[in-house]
Amino acid sequence: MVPHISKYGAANLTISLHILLNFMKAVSIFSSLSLLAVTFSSGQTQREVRNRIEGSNRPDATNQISSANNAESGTSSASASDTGAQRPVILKNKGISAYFGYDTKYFYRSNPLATDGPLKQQATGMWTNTFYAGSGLGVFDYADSVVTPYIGASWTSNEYVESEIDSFNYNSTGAYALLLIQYGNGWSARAGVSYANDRSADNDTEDFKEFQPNIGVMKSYTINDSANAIFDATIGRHLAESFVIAGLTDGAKTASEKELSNTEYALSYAVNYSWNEVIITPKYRISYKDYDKGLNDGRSDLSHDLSLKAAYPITESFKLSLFYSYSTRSTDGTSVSYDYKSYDAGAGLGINARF
Amino acid sequence: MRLGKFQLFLNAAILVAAFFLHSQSFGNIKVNFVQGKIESIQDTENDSVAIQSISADQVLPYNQLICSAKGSRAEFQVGSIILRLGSLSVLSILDDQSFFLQSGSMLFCFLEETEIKLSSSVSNAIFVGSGTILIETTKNGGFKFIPLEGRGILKTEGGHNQEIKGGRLVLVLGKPSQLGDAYDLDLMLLLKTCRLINSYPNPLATFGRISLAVYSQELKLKGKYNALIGDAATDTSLQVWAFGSDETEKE
Repeated sequence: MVPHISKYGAANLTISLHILLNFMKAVSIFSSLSLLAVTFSSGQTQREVRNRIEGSNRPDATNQISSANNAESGTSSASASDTGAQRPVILKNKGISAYFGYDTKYFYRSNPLATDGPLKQQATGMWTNTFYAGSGLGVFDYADSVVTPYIGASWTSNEYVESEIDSFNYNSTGAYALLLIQYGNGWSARAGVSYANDRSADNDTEDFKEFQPNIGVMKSYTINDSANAIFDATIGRHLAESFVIAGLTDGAKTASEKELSNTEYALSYAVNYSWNEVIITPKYRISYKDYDKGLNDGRSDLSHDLSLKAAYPITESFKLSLFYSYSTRSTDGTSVSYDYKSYDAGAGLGINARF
Repeated sequence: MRLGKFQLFLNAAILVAAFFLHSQSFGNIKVNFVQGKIESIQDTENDSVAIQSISADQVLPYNQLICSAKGSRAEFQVGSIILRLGSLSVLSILDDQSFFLQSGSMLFCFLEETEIKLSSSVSNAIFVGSGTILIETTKNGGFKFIPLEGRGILKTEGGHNQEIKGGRLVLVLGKPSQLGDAYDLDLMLLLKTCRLINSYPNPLATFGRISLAVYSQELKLKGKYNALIGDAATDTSLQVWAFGSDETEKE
C-alpha cells in the first residue's frame, strides 16, 4: 500500500508525509511519541481518510441477490377448483441465473469523516452510484435444503458534494463468492468470501483493501399478512490492508498496514411491512469488532445502526426509495478515540434485471 | 361350578375376538376435520345403502364412498398419511395404501417413504416416495398428479416411470394407464389459490418443504405463460385458458 496522503489536499500539509518521515529518520530528533503527536497535529487528513474508510457503507451482496431475486414476485389472484390455479411456467434447466443492476443515492450525511464529537461535523451531501452484477451458479435441491452458489461484483463511486471535502471522493470495488443454503424451516446458512477495495478518486491510489471470509445464518418468518421479519447473525474476519504512517508507535505497539484487520460479530433484525405497494423496512444492527494488529491491537468497537427505509416499486425492476439511518460507534483499547455518531437521510433509485 | 367358570371364560374370549375383528373392519380412518356436509355411503347386508353424515373425531371403516357437498371439505388420518378431500368429490379408501377418487380432488401429505395406489374411474398409478401431492380427476377418466413438494417415482401399469418434482403436473390417463404430458406450474399461485391448503385450520407438517419448493422454483423461474391449465376432456386434449381471451384448447 502506497501512502499518498499529501494529495488529499489539506492546506496544512504542504509536503508529503513520507518525505517528512524520511527527514525525521535522518535527523533522529523525534521520539516515537513526539512523532505521533506531530502526525496527529499536522496530519489531520490521514486520520480523516482512515475515519472515512472505517465509516464506509459498502454494498451488501445479499441485498443485491435479494433485490434481483424479487424481480418476479408478482402473481395474479386467479383461482380454479379446490386444487388451485394451474399456471404453467418455464424453468431453467439448472437454475443458472444472472442479474445486474444500478443504484443511485443522494443523501445528507452529518459526519462524513466519522470524527469523534458532535453529530454534525463537516456535514455534506453525498452522491453514490453503484453498478453491480452477479450470477447464481445453479440451484441444487437436497432433502431438506436448497443450495445456491453465487458470485458477483460491484463498483461504487462515492462523491462528497461539499467542496471542502470533495478531495476525499473515492471509488469502491467489491466482489464476493457466496454459498447460500436455505432450509425449509425459514433458516438459511451462508459461507463466503468478499473483497473490498477503496481507491481515491482524485489520486487513483488504493487506500484500503480487504478480504473477508465470513459465515452467517438468517431466519425469516411471517409476522402477519403484511409483515415479515428477518434475523441475521454473522461472523467475519476482515483481513485488511490500508496505508499506514511507517514508524508510528504507541507504547509497545507499532503501526502496521494490517491494523484495520478485525474479527466482526454482528446481529441484525429487520421487519418488512407492506403498505399498499410500499415496503417499509425498519432495521437495527449491532456489531462488535475485535482488532488485533498494529496500533489497533487490543482495540474493540461496538457499533449500533438504526435505519428506516421506504421502497416503492415504480415498475417490477425500477424502485424508488427514501431512507434514514443513524449510526454510532464506541471504541475501547486505544489512546485515540474512534468514537463517532452520524446520520444519513436521502433518496435513491434502483434498477435491476434478472435473466 | 367348574363348567360355569369355563363358560364365562369362553364368553370373554369370544367377546375379545369379536372386538378385534370389529376393529379390523373399521380400519384406521380417523376424521380430523369436517367443513360443510360430508357423507359416507356403505352397502349393508340387506343390499340397501346406509348414508351417514361424517363429523370430526369419528373413525370410519374402509371401502365406504365418502362424498363432499359443494363448499365442503374434510381431513382424514389414514395410518401415517394425512388425506384432505376437496369439495364436490367422491372418494373411497380401500385400505391404508389404496385410494379410489371417483371425482373431485384430494391432497396427500406424508413425510416417510410410502407406497400408495391411486385410481380414478379409468386410470391408476402407484407412487413410491414421500411428499405433498394434489390429485384432481379429469373428464377423460384419468387424473392430474401435482406434487407441491416431494421425492419419489410415479409408476403406471403401462410401464411408465417418472421421477416427481415439486410443482410439476403429470397427467395420468388411459387404460392401461400411461403418463401424459408434464407441465411446471406456478407453485406460489397454486399455493395461494389451493383450498386444499388454505381452507383447513391446521397447517400441513410438510409446510416447510413446500416453502422450500417455492423458493427453489423462484430461483429457476424463466417465465410464465399467460394461461391456466384446465380439464382434460380426452386423452389427446387439454383445456388451456388464456388470460383475457376465449377458451383455447391445446392438442
